[in-house]
Amino acid sequence: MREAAALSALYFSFALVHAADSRRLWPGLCHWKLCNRTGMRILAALSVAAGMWFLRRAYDATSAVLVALTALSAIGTLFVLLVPLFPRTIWGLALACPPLVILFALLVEQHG
Amino acid sequence: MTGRLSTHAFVRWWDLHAWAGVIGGLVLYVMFLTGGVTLFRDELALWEEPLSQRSSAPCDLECALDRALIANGSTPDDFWLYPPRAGRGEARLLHREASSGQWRTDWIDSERGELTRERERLSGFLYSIHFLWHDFTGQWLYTVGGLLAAVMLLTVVTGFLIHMKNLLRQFHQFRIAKSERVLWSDMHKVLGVMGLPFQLMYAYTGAFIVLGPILLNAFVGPVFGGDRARAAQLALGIEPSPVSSAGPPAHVLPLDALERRAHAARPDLEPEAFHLVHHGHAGATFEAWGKERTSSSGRASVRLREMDGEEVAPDRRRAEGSSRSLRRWIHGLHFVHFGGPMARALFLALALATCLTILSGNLVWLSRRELVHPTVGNRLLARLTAGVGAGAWVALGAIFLVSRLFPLGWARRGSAEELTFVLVLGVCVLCSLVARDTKAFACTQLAAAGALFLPVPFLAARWSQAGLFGSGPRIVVVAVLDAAILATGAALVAGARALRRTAQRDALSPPTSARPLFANPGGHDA
Repeated sequence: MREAAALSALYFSFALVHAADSRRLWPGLCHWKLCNRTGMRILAALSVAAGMWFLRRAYDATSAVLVALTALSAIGTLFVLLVPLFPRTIWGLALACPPLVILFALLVEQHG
Repeated sequence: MTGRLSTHAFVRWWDLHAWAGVIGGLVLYVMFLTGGVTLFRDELALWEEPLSQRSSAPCDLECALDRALIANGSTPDDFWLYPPRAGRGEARLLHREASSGQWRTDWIDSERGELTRERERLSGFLYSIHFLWHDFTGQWLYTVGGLLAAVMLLTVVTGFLIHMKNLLRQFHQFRIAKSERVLWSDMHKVLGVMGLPFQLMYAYTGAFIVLGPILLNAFVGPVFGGDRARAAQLALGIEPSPVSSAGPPAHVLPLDALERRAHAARPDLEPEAFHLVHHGHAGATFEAWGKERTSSSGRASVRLREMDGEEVAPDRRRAEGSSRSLRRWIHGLHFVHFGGPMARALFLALALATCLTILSGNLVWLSRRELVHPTVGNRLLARLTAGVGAGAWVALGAIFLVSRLFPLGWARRGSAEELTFVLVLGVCVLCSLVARDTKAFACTQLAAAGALFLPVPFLAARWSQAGLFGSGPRIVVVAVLDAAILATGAALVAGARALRRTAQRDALSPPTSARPLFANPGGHDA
């Protein structure tokens, strides 16, 4: 559960970084142009921190950093290559990530 | 640093990057593909061998050792004992064959009270091939593997240098609506930039592991006065093997007591195997080897005397030098001794992405050079790229299939599995060289690979009831692997269909001045 929460948070962070340039944003989410690019990057950094926090609860500090870096590489690769092919799925998953993180966090609290 | 290279430097780096990639790429592709699979070697070893899935009867270490030695008929002078993991499966004995002196592994079959020679080679062979090792080819091919890792390091560094100025843009740019050349180029850059830390780490650690001991030879004479063991210990942190005479037969501590002492000496060690030398004699040593729970950096061991359970040279272990620490870190990173199954799954994804980086790099080369100067060499490269790129998957599917088809009792099944992989890969490459339409043949190969993977979980139920289609109590790892094999097969078939459709759509679209990369029916291109 901790790993799932961490992956969701890291996925959300990469989606935010990708969306920070409105030309890359899916047309269905164009009203997000109103959002501040810096704000998105700050939110992405917070999301990475949340992912790191979940990983730190599962692994030692070094492992958590290594796993987070690996996850960001893998997520980034899949995101950029798949978003032109399946935009709805990829952006939809990004939108689903914040509630997923909360859900997984609650499950972690309940079940340890 | 401005991030811009001079034109001369850019062209030179580009050439070096392209040539190094093209020369080493396809072998590195096979190494990364099998290396990715091998990240789950322990799981594959459990999946492939029914003896490792048995619910083992309660038996402590001493009992497992007794069984092994009784079944073997004698006590080898130097051997390893692998106890069952997590209370499942039989123990294993690694020892030297009396006739040939070669190391061999035997399962200690507790039901029949005999040793069963290791009969399954799938996981072991895929592991070995990822660093180009085989008993038949020996050291030279392994060294080539190390050199290829160094070539990859060069490719990654030169790739970074030539793309330095556009690195941030290439994080996000993948234009599928543009030409084939732009598509491959974007894909290569995205995969290269995203996978840069992963590729850099694997190229460096791979080259270090293989070439480190070879390069050390140059320093043994001038720096260490010819003392190879001391050179290995100081420069690479490799502990010398215990050199002690066996001495007279003596009463030694039971293995379980020695294990407890090893745990007391090194509480963070999770033993996976035990190395015994001169067992039952006054000079006997016991070494517990395994994973360090509190560290991300790999495996460790502790060595005790069998007579009194005292640690051999504890000061040397505690005063771990920087070279040994570096070596442990390099091994820990390379073998992913951190982060559990999720980290390994992510590494597998990045290994597959690296395979795609290599193939897309070849396609970028072809799209740039073949269009300007069509040559036989480029056409050969196009066919080899298709043949190895898709053929490696067919060979993987074939080795999985035959590992479930060949009879378990067949003495030569291990060699037959290995031969199947090599032959299938060779046939795929040869057929690609003569195929009328290389792209269509690559699609056929991917579909064939999928078709080979799909029946594997069903056939696995012949010997193991612990899998997805078995009727017995399920073992989660075995069932998950069955599901993963099914998913791989389905993905390959779906991928082949999608590629074929794209190829057909491209064939129907209005002709452009640019020649499509693989359309070379019968070699009669204008």
